[in-house]
Amino acid sequence: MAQLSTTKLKPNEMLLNMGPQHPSTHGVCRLVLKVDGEKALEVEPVIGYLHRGMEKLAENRTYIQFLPLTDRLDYVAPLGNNQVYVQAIEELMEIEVPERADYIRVIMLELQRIASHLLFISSFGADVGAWTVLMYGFRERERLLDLLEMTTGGRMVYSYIWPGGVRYDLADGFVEKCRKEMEDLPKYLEDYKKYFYSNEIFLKRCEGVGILKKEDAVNMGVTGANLRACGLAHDVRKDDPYSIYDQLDFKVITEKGGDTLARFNMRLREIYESINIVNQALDALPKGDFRAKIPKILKPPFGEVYSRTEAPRGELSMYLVSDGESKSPFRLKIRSPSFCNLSAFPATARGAILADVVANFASIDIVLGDVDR
Amino acid sequence: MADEERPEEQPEAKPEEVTVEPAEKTEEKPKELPKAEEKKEGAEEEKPKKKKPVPKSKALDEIKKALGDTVLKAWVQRERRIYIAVKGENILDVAKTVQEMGFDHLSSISGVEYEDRMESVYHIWSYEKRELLTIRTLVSKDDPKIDSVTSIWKSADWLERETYDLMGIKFEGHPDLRRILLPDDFKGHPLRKDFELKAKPW
Repeated sequence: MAQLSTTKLKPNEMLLNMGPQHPSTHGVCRLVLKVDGEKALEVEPVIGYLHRGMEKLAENRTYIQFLPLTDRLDYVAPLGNNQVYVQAIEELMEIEVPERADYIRVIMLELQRIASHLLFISSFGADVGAWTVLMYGFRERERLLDLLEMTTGGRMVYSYIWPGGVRYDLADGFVEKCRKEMEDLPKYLEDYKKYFYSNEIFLKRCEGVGILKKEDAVNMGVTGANLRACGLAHDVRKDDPYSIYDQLDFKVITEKGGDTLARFNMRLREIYESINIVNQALDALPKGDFRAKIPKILKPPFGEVYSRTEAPRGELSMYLVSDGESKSPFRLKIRSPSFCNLSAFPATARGAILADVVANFASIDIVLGDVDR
Repeated sequence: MADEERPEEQPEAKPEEVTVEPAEKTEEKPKELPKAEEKKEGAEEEKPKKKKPVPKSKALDEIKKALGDTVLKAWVQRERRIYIAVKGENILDVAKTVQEMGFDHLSSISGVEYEDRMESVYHIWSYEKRELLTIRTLVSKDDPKIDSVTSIWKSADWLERETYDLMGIKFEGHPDLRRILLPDDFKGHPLRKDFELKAKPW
């Protein structure tokens, strides 16, 4: 329920509901806006429409049974959710992952990141009125989904990353096809750049909108590309490395300004870095097992672990507590990046023009499955 | 790993930091944290002996020095993962101290319900030190409440609301403590162990 209510309004103010069903909220999120004419004085997100009680469900399922459910958290980048969950189990049970599996994981995670960022670019374009790029973005994303489908068998929910490794080895011909896509993709990105940066309306709608200062971003728990857009070079892949990211050579991209345009640039530029990572991983891909032998029934020893990853949307972490006896997690807390990024949104949107609220909201790139869990 | 805080099951707990023990050292054994429902962990403990040594953490030493007796227990789990356990009523002081020491990113707040107690667990990352500090605080189960840390980290706002919503821990001093994910008229707190999932009636 929203706290903003009609009883506290001045005569020139009114309440406006954006959502729960509204194309610019990217799912079932409701924004309650207190407006004075075109100006949004207060913004309050109302969430929970997609709450499925994932944390409770985890306590009532075995470790493996919960793995497919993690796909449903952030359904735009499910492999990242698989990774964070599996990583937590592996750390608790001290499972050694074969090197090849780690490389395959990184390739898949980065392809997923590119696909997710492409979706962001398309839908962001649509939100600020650049409809053509919506088609462009989806066209390229389709090819990446084909790639993922080749190996994982899925296009939306994968459950591909498995405790001890991955479920299947890379499909025949995957490496060649992947290399080709990685070669082609930058050409398309150049097209996007031309399309966006030569468009004055687009720039006007993004520049200086929804500025988030670095200190505020840190204090409000903003992570991921939104944080790097404020100029702080933090990437979990670099600073708290997992899998084989510490063996790869990549840069942490940052932008200055912390406005909507910076957040958009971040995603566009990060795709290049992801392409770089995929290419490196393909070059160094070792032979060997793609999955370690793990017990049929997973029963991690008593303990707790905090597993952190850099998902496309920011820091995705899980706090897993095991009691050492049962086959299901004793407690699983999911720290989702969208939830925390959204909590900082009202502060940046206060006082903006209504249309800017939409652009600002789109630029923080939330997925409601990730917010509501 | 195993965070067995049962003093009686840790015959080898020494005050030193560096041993070849798997997880954590008990610095001072807490009086109230033990007695979780984990019974036979002692046994599991023995096995993973030959792990690599637990690294030292300068940040943890600093924290222990700054907080003194407030810290009931402190240990290093692995590289970049340090833990302290404190009493619930001290959380505000502890939070203030560690924030001033550079732990600036409150990553998450989780409520955990054990058989005899509840815990509010704070995971705090330091962008400068690059370490993740976990603060485990004890909360009474009969009347779960703890001071809010929203005055220190603004990110605590929604995280505390979520913990209140799902776990029922009251955060005193929170500016606007109400449900966030569940509807306002929802009864109970679903992450409590006594809240059972019911099958649909068909």
